[in-house]
Amino acid sequence: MKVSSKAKKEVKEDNFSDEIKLQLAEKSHLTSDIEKAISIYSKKTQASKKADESEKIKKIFFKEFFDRVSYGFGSQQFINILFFHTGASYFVVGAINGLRVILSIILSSFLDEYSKVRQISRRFIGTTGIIFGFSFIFMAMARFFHSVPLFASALLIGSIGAVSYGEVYQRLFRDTLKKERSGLLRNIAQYGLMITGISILLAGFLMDKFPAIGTPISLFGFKLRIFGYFIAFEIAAISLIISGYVLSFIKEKQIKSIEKRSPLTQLRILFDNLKDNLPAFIKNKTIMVLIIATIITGFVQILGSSYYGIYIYETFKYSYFKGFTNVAVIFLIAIMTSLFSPFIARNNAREYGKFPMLVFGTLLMAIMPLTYYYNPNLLSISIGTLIGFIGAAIVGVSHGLLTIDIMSEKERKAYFSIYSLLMIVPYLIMIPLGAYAAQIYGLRTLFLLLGLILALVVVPLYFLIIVMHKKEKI
Amino acid sequence: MKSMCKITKNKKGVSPLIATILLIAFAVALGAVVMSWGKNVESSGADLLLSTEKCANVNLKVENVNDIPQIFYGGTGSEGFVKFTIANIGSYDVDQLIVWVIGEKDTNIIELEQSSIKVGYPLIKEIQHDFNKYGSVKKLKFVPKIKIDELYVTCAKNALEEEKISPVS
Repeated sequence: MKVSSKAKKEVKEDNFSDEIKLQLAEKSHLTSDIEKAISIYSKKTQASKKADESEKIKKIFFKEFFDRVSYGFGSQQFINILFFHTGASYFVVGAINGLRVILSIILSSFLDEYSKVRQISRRFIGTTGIIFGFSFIFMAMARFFHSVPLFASALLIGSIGAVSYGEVYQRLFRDTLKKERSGLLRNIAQYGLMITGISILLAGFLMDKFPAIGTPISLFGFKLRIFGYFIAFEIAAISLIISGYVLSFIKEKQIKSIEKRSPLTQLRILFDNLKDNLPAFIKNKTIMVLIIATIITGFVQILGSSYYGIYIYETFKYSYFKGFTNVAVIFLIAIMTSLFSPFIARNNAREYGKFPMLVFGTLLMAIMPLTYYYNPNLLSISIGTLIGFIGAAIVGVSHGLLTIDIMSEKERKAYFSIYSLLMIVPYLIMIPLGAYAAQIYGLRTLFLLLGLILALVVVPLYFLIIVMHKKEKI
Repeated sequence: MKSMCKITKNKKGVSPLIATILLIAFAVALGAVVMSWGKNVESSGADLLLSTEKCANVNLKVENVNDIPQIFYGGTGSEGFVKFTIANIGSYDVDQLIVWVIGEKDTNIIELEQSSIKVGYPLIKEIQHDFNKYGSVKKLKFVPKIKIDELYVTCAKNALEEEKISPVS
């Protein structure tokens, strides 16, 4: 018995339904024949699909590997230290980092809306990856020529590339692979942390071994000077370029657009939604407190992460493992916490409630800058950083779980698109002010300020909500 | 046995308020431990080690021109002066200099203002010297001060001494 073309299509698209069976039965075929024919055809297509999926997974795995290598060699902390060494003041470092985040928020919101009406091609994603890669080469050049404007431009362009690359790749990743397969790959991505960790250590070692003044070497009779940061950033750039190239070979599924609209119309819809939903969110005290607390926490994180690396480098550059390696070791330990901290957060949120966990996570986050202020020795700074990273994970997970609890699916979607846009205006004011404080009062005073903001502003905000909802377990 | 069952069946748990207070107490205790951990034992040792290590990178040198150290004295009586050129040939920036002008009668110790010397740079200064009070200049000693973690550390062991002091021509 031959299977009809419609049935074939349905099987291929994995939408095989009882309806097809019914249609064939209506044509007086025996049920056993129908089942047999479909099962043979289904097995054939399944086998070829499996091979296709395996091929995709291989490519994505390869791509993930190079991505992780580039994250390590081009770690944000190293970028900030090199930016500072290029000649940028504390103010410029903080302000440019803030601008980078704001640009990322705007771009990510735009891409999110754009992808609803247009399909973003893998070629575009590959290109953004390559731009991201080249930005590292320009940063290395800027460090060499001591050009702060070139470094800042490369950093900003690189972050635009990074956002486009990351955001859209994640979507492609979701759409291209079946759920169970992507889950498997996500597990593999956990091991990617190890690759990132090893890369960070190697990068730190290279930058200390071949410092910025240049180490003379003789190669085939030519006398050259090599620079550690150049090698590390070249590796990061090459990895990203290869990764972007690999991505262009991954077959993408044709995703149907929901509605045919221009991206600008879609953006207008986003702003209209924002206008419609904002009054409702403002009325809801819990959501309002969440938004304010998230904005303040985000501000502390952005400013802190702009300076932690610089501070560790400058304080311990002549001791322990030497400058860059000290930074690498501390952040390596902290990164490794991402292997288990979401698990701790999820379990405890279930046990104690989400808001108490938000308070706890925020206090753990406050320990990090306060340790930098009160006890700046490498051991306590390492532990403080580790605790801070765990705290950030707890806050992230609890925040996510809380939004599921207190908002409907529709509200949640509106909340996430609104709060990222709402961050822009306060960040435009707060980040330059914080960077200015760093410039005038020094990094230690800034860290004290950041720790106190978390402990004395954000924690009471959450606490207020708990007192308001004394009886409910939220 | 019954009460045991009651305990296991009781799923009420702690109220969010109590849970929060408990978690705050835990976080504060954890913070206190981390922030004071090794402060007395390691910190002092580490600070000492750190300052010793950093001071080891400080190296000052009196500039020589035609084998003449660039330290000169001039003027008379209370209108006297000492002029010197020293260079930082180490690998750590010097933030301030303490200058000892050892005279025949007494020693004048001056904490020089605006005397930071970046690595690879010289410092050319002229300081007042009262010949009536301190007598003729016998020796100059430069003690560097460096900044570690926003604190000034005096590197006494890395002081530079010079006895060849010529009259200004």
